[in-house]
Amino acid sequence: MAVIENLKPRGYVIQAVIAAIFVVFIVRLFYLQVIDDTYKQIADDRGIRKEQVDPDRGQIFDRNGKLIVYNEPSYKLMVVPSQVKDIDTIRFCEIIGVDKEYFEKKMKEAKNFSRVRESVFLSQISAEDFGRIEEYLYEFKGFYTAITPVRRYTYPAAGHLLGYIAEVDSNDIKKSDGYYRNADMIGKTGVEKSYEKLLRGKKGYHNIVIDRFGRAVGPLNNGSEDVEPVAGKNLTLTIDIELQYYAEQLMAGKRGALVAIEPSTGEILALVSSPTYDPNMLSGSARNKNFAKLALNKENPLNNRALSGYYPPGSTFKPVMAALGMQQGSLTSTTGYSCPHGYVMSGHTVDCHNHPYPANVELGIGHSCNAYFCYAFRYFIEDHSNPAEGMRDFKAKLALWGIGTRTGIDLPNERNGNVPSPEDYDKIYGKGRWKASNCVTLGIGQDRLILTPLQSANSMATIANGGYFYSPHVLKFADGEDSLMNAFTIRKETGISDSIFKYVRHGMAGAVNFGTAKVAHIDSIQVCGKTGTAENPHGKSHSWFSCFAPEVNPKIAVAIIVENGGWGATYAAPIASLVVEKYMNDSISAKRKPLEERMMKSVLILDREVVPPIQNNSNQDTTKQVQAALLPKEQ
Amino acid sequence: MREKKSIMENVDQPLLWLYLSLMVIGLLNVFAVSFSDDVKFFDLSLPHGKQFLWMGISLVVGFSILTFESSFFTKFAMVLYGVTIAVLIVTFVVAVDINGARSWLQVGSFQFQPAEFGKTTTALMLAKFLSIINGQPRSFKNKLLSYLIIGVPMGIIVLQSDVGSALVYASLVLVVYREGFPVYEVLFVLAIGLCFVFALIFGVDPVAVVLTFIIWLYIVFNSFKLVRKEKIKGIVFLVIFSAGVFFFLIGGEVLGMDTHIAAAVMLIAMIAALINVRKVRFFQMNIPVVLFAILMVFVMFGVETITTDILEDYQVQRIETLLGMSDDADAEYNVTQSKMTIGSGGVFGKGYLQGTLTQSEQVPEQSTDFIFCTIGEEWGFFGTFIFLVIYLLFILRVIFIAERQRSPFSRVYAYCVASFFFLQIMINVGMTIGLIPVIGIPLPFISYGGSSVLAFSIMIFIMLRLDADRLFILR
Repeated sequence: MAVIENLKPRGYVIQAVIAAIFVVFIVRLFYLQVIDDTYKQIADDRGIRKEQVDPDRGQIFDRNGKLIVYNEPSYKLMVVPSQVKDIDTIRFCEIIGVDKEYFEKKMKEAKNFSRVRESVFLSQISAEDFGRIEEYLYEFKGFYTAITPVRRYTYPAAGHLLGYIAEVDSNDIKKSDGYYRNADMIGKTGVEKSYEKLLRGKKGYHNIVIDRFGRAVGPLNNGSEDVEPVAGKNLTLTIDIELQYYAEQLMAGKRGALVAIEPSTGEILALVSSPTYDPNMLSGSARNKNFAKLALNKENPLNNRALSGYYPPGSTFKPVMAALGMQQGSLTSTTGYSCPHGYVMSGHTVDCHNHPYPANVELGIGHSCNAYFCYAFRYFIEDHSNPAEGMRDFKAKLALWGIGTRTGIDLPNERNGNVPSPEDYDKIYGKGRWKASNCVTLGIGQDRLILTPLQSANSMATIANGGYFYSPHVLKFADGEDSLMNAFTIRKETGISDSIFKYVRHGMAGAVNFGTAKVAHIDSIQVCGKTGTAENPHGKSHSWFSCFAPEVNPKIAVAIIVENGGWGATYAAPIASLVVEKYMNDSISAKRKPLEERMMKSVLILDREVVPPIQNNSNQDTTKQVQAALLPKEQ
Repeated sequence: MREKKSIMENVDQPLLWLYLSLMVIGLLNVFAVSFSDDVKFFDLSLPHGKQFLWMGISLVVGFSILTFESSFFTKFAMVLYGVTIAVLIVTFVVAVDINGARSWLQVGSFQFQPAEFGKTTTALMLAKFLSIINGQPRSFKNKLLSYLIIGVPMGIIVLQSDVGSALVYASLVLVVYREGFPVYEVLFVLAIGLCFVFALIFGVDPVAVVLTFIIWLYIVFNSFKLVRKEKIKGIVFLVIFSAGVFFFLIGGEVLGMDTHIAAAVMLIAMIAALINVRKVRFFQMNIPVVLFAILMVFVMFGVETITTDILEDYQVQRIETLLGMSDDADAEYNVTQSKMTIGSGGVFGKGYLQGTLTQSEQVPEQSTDFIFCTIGEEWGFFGTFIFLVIYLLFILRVIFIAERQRSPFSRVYAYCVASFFFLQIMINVGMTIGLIPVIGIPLPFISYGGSSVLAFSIMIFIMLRLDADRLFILR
């Protein structure tokens, strides 16, 4: 038998430990409550309140230094319920301009939040009303005024690209490492989201001494312990806001997207998704109402089609196919395929229109011959040991172009697009039981090939550059954040030499000069382009146009889709060429003015409610005024 | 009728009165927090009204517990414990986030924290287990099982990110200590917990350095005897040992060596030093050094593994927030406001319902976690002193009751109750007066919160019921 230790003494040890802790507490309390009087002076009948001071959110400029986004003060009326006494409700409601029901509802809400802290009573007060209210406010105890900034936009344009800010939700708070608190604002989409950390700045805190009623008396220790906010960084974007606005006006009334890129840098010049909305609609207190309206609109104006729209590229893919074929060697610059009004297979025919014999690549592109590129695709695949291998190579090579994979643009919600894999066809036909002729229309951008408008524009930039691109991006410059730009200076190679692209470019020039895209011809600029008419199951074909200009030393690459717009030459090509002309020449030649007017006025969708009103001149005036007022302060 | 009366006669009157007075103090102070000119005492929509209701429910439940047979609790200890574990796991899976923790379960419109009720069932289970093995040799298996009984619910609660409640479970080491577990083991378990917390707060390296320093001082002091006995061997031992320590503290850094490797070198040096003197049989060095080695390995490798591999990022973040070490301006602000509010009470306080800081809502969570501030402000040092004395008497009375039990089951259970109350009040009051990082747990019977009042009442009444049968030996 083991000796059983008498364990009673351990009970005494435990009691001693507990008693000791209590003694420590009592000594500490004696010190805090009787001896120490650090806090006593302020604490006698006052307290300290730590108030968050929001930094100014960064402003946003376009590539030419034009102000696009700034902050405007918005006036609010606050209330502290415990201080509201003996108030003439009727007179108050008259002066403020609210009814009695509103008054009672707001007072109840405020009381539920806190009796001694400020709640918002009325927000979005205009400057004039605010002045009048302030005059009478001394009569009504417990009401105070406050000013908060609201995002404002100098142009009613670029809503999708810029994004908007809104109050944080619980997810944002959780993910933010304790930075955000309820009622803070955060970028929800677009540039506001991508560069939230730069734009938001750093919060400050002020220690305010308050009296026993919770009223602010003044700063604690003359503000020596306050932390001042650090304003957010101003961003300069790559977009040309005039071009952006112009493109949006051209796209008004149509569903689709337009992306313009500077090929030599990958800078986005314009990124339009249509139908669009005035970004001012989603700013300040109007946001909730307008957001619901936009979200419920069946044309889905909140969706950024430029980054996430899924479209078969149609014939605009042919230049890419030509480059791939020549890279493979299965196509040479002098290869010609006969076109008996289509590519004839056992079973059915891929139709083609009436055009001269495509004796070489340039003519193939210029006349947009379907048969030619069905052959080009088929011989590309058959140049590999088996179809699966060929398809895998097709997918891998396109990935180098940023097709079927994200281009890496610095905006949220970009989608991959789709390039089919051999497994996709295995599923349909059985493993190994298919060959090139089963998917020959991939060569003309149909079948399961899906590109976003951004990817299409990027492929144009790649052709314009002669085989490489820089990740498309919208940030041009942010003070002291040079490292952010590193990702955009990496030259991404497709592995295809410029000598091959020479033919492709020439072919695309041909398309504009004598081929399917004559409408895009501009006298002073050699545009290289390719129309596309993408068949789709949702009604009339989509109208595509992809181009760059000029042929030598290209400055701009554009891809545009007009949903259900019919032929590529009907809507897409004219709009793209106008955008090119506007960017290159800064104005539209008199000869093409009627075309411009026709494009701006044409309407393909019935619901025009969301289309921003066109008000060219007055708007630019306000822009200038705002810049004059704000710029000197910035420097 | 007669039987019921006899139970009431055996119920410990002093504890019952202490319990009731704590409940009254709690109600008065919850009322003080929500008080203003237009607030009536009987308003069931406000915290104090709800608290009043919950106290009524608690008393009804409590007195009906007194009508149970004591053997019910010994018989069903294991079942209740099993249910508790199951509910805790379910809570972890289905619970929604409330103040950063997933520890609340919603049943209809009623929310409760299973961890609160789990304290009672864990105490019953531990009592059951320790009473079964009472008097038997304390084998490694029995000890391990005891620690597991405590550790399993605690672990699940940590996963719920409710570190405060988990810490309260840790207080049960006091019970196993009282039941005769070796002191150094109990201290070691405590040390592992403390090392984990400190490593999170201060980082791994400082904790490792402090640990090393402690073991080195211990060895140096004990070496005097060794050197007297075996001069050369003793000095060689001391030199090798110290060389290892200095290599870790300084050498590793100079050589630019990874601290993990430096620690390994030091441990090898220490073991080599011990092997050198193995024949001297100087055992008071072996065990501490081995324990130290385990602690070091845990700190240097375990903490990182737990925080990076086992716990999710957001859980680590919450633990850090709870420990008051994230960049959380709020936590620091709370403590400042809390100390100021208590300090402003002075010697005699501002008088009941006259607490200006309390009423201008200066302290967040004042009716729940920071209720002690109200006592401090309105009743002054005079009040806090009396209050703490009442609470101390309450806990000591529970221990007194524990010690007079014949059956180990009742004794262990009562000790568990004392430990829980002790740790709750230590963390809660310690936090409001700035001695302990801000960890949100309620002050039993004082803080506003239905499930807390009910759970602690049940815990107390079960003990009163067991105590009423103190003349029997329960199995």
